[in-house]
Amino acid sequence: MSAFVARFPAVVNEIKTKISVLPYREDSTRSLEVAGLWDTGAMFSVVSRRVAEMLHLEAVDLKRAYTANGWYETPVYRVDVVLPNGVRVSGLHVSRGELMVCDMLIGMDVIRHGDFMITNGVQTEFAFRIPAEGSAPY
Amino acid sequence: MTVEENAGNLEKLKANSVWYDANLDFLLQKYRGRYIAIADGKVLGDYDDFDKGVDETVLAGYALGTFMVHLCVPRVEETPWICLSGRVDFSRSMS
Repeated sequence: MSAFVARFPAVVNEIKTKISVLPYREDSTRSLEVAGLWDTGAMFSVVSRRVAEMLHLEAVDLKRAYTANGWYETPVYRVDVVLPNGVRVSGLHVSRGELMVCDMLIGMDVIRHGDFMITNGVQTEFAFRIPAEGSAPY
Repeated sequence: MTVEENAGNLEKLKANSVWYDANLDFLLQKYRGRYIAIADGKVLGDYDDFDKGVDETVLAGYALGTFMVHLCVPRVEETPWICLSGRVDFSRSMS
């Protein structure tokens, strides 16, 4: 089990951490560190065009991404991600989109591998523990 | 990979997807539930595992980006990829 905690200076309305992304099964020297936005409203993760181009990602499939505005076709890439605690999640199928505040949207395909907790008192703290161990401490 | 090569590969991806949809009724009869590798208007192989499909198609000499591997099921049975995040715009994903 490995966990990380991200502490923000105030109560925030988005959870962003650094995350490394690289082509599937490639050596870690090929990884790219980017800002990742954690989003439970996404079933799958999304990378920006910039990430796809910088990592020379090649699509292996084409899927339909369903949004509030309808569906769009999107290329699918296989990637690995390395979380802030050094844990590597391998073989993710990610789509590509225009992202506004980050280079990667971290969706439930990553989140479901662990335990995800956000607390908000004076400041927001985000903790992620992988692999998942189950029930919340209350 | 240049921007032009990337654009070219996305065009191939789109063409493979169009071919898949146009031939889905036939493909379902033969490959339903299988992962099929598609390039240049033909099925290159069928597999029980997505990664195996990609790896073996590469071993057969097809470069990544020149083929797609897709689970052959009716479109209504495909697991929907839902993204309700307002932070992402997919409208130009294929350009």
